Amino acid sequence: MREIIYIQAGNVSNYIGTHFWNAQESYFTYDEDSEPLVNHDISFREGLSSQATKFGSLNKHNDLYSDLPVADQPPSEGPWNGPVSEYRQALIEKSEYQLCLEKGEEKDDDEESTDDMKSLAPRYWSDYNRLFYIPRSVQQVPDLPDWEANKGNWNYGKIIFNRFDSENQLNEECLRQFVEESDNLQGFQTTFDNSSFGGFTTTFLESIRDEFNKAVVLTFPVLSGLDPSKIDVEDIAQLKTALQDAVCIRALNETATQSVPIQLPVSWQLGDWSERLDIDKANLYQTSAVLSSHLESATLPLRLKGRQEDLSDLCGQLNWSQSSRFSHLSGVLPFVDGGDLSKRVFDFSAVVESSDSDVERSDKYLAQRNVTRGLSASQIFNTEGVFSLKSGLEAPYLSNVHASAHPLPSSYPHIFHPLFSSSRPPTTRPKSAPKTTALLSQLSTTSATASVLQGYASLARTCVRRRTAASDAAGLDADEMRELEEALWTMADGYAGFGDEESDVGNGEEEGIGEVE
Amino acid sequence: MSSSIELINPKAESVRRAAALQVNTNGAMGLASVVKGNLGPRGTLKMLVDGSGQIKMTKDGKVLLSEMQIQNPTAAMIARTAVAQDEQVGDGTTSVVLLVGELLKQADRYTSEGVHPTVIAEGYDIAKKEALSFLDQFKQSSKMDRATLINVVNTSLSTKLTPSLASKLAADVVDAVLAIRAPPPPPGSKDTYREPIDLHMVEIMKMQHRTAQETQLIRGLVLDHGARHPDMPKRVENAFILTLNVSLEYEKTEVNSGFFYSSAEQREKLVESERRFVDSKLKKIVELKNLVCDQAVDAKGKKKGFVVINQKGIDPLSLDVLVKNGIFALRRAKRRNMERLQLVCGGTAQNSVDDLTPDTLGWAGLVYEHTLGEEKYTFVEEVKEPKSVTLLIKGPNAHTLTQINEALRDGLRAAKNALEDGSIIPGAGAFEVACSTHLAGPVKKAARGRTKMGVQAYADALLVIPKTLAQNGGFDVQDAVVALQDEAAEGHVVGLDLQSGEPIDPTVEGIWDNYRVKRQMLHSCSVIAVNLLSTDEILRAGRSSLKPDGQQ
Repeated sequence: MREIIYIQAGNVSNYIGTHFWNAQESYFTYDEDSEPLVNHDISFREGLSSQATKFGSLNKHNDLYSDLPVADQPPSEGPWNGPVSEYRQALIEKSEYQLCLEKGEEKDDDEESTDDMKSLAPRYWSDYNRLFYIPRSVQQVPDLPDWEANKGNWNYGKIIFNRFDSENQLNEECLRQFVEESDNLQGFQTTFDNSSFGGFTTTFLESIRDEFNKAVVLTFPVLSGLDPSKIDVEDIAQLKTALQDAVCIRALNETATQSVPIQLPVSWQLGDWSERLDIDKANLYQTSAVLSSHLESATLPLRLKGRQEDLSDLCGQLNWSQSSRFSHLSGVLPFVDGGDLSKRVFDFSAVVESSDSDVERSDKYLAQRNVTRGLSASQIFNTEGVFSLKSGLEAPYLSNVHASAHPLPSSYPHIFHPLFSSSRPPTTRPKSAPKTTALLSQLSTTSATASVLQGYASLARTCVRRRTAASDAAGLDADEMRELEEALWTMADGYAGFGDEESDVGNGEEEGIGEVE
Repeated sequence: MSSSIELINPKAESVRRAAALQVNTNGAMGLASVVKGNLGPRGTLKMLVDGSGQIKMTKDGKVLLSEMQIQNPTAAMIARTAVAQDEQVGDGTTSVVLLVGELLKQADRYTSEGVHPTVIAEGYDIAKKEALSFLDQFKQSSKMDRATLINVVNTSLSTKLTPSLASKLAADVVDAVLAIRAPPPPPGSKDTYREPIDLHMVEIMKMQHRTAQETQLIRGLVLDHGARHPDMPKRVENAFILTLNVSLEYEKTEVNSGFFYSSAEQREKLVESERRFVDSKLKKIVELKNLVCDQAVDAKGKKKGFVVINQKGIDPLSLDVLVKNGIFALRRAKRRNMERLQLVCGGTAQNSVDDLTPDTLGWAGLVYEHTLGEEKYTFVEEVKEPKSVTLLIKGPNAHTLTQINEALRDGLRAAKNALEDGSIIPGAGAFEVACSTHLAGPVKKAARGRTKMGVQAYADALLVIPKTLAQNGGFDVQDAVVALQDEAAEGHVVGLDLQSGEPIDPTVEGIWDNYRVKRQMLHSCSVIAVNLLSTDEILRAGRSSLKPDGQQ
């Protein structure tokens, strides 16, 4: 009973989240004798998710939690018996996939549903949702009128949160009730879109901090993918977006225990790593599936049965030096063989330019967590060797977890190149879609983060010096901007210290503990 | 003639002069016509259906305005003012929207004949000033006994609920507000300051159960959660209440995280020491329980219970310990309930277990758990002199619950306003009719030159309230208004009877409005109408054109 509460906000995050929950659902084993892989108690009470637009056809009231008709209700004693006028928005039709599910789960012959999924282009994340959410876990943040939607303004999100919280008592009612239900809360895990929900979510996290001051918060902010050092300062829109990322990172440094930024899929550079994938960068349904698989695998140890590790252990390992609150998410999907591992790994957290061919720069790994899914014993042996060689880390700083393959529920897009699709156990019929896939996910803390932080800091400095109008637009005045710059430099220093020391990191734990004390 | 702004920014759109005023007038009138149907006890409900088929039914102007996703900028500006009105005084949203629409419509009658908008605006300013001073004459001060308050609240509730339910709840609402009101300063003391009424001390709890008629006032507190242990007592009588803000669960310290121990043994040790820490806290609570409860048994023979209500968590192991000692415990109570509990049961909330003494404890005659499907509720009742109470809303479905909730919210505000104002205004449109007569008479006479037209327009605009009431009641608008004006001209206080359509005396019928609501209403509608009238150019320099491709 070590519950985690998941919070997701924003469109991209909800796409990722839906895949995440669909994967969780597929771990359920309905037969008596098979042992479930994960501990369902931990997370099978859905998290709280906020979503601005594009709710799609998801209704708060679903089959599991609908209002039951009350039979003995005296008629015509409603609280109001005056006339009623009706305003209707066009009903959004349920997606094909939803209709299929309603008809009685998937049909057995996979061929047919395969075709269905291919032709299907989800319009909303709720289109491929397989679960029923508890009504109070879904929160609809009202749309803003066009001219009010001041997306570049960070403080605006704060105002919205405060208004939303006082109206709907997000914290007092919904969140508190989930916490009340948990016997031994591990912490919170948050995914959010920085562009639309940055201010909102960080304010939310602040209020969580306020309420549960010891809570562990792991966040996955979805950033814009812009490299701060290559921003054209004249381009106000770009500048604003990059500044927002900077503000977000600064805010997370204070409110979150550990953060793993993810860059927007449209900014990815396809290359060797994506050879075995058949994806379209702009298709959120596909890209979010890739992200979700990695995110799910990287945090899998927290939910595995029989493992003692919890959220604070995970954060503690990634941030053992106490000054590196930002880590990277990277991985290989699908994992076919151990060859060319360094070429196949893609870093989802790095801003585009730094992930070019010169991957092996002077970056130092401070900590790394590897999770592999569905690898054979020999593959495990080989990859472990590669990991420790590449990262130059040892036991407590480097950890490896091996688990069974990642499930592919029928809602998962068919993104694997047919040639490479992992042909694991040959039990599956050749024609049908694979039910699982092998993959490798890594969370690592590296000194490369320092240069990104420095990038943001010098961007902020440029703004201070130029007194750009954009700083107003981002909702920061000159003083706040200066503060932001200083905070970012301090954070960068936290990493930079490690870049210079040569082999200190690998030397063993005595030193690590010494630093903390 | 093209606008000069277009020379500077070719992408800018602009509307000028008369056309600009027209845009504003249309926006304001459009919004007014949407909410028009909602005014008064005979107004309509609005049913909002969104894309996923979710339904929201409301009659509350504020809810409606915030849900409608208004795109017209003028309408949005008015809506925002109206919502602000609601936030400040708790009522009058619909009236503000109607009045702004009507003020612009009346102005339009003059401006279309060539009168400059600023002349009208000037007249509006004079009229507003006079209307406010008239309001001060018109209000009736009374000492706000329970019966008067019930009338005030009933007026507010009956615009949202059926008469039978409204009259039942009006009494409950008044009792609730009177219960939480701070006592007046003792007559002898110099300090005449009296604490304002904090409506947060009335907890509103919803329970989907039975019928709306069973909505009631509970003199005590209802919590939305129950004990998390199957063996906990479900009912405790004669109970001491310990209000705590102390974590009773195993927590890892940062140093203790998995990274810093190497063997399972070490881990066990750490866990154990943490556990011992929690156990020592529990021991102190149990000691206190034994102290107060054992002593009581000797004295009177009536068994005493012990209840712990904690804002922080209590983990299963701690719950076990408490169960063994016969203690009923709740975890993760709302932060605000900590404050309420002290007011309900007495005692003081404790942030540590270090100095627990019997006098920090509160008392309640009955604490019991009520289970409803998956939901659990805990009632803390039979307390002495509660300074905080609960309104328990019941209803067969979620829509009923929200409607009653909206109505109660208004009712509470109405009672609070009346108590704090010390005066009330006769309702049913009586003020608007009287004020209109006053403005069109002496005030217009006193006004100089062309501003007379503005004053007249303002006087006409005020009549929109009785007109709309009559229209929603299904009566002939002209007949009703003329009858009212006749009566008012003779100096009577008259409002519209929505049963017969005839003029009545609202002071006899017990229809009362809040003084501050009317005051705020006159203020905000005049200010925004004058602003809109003085606008002679609307510009839209597209911010969206700055966005690069592919960015959201």
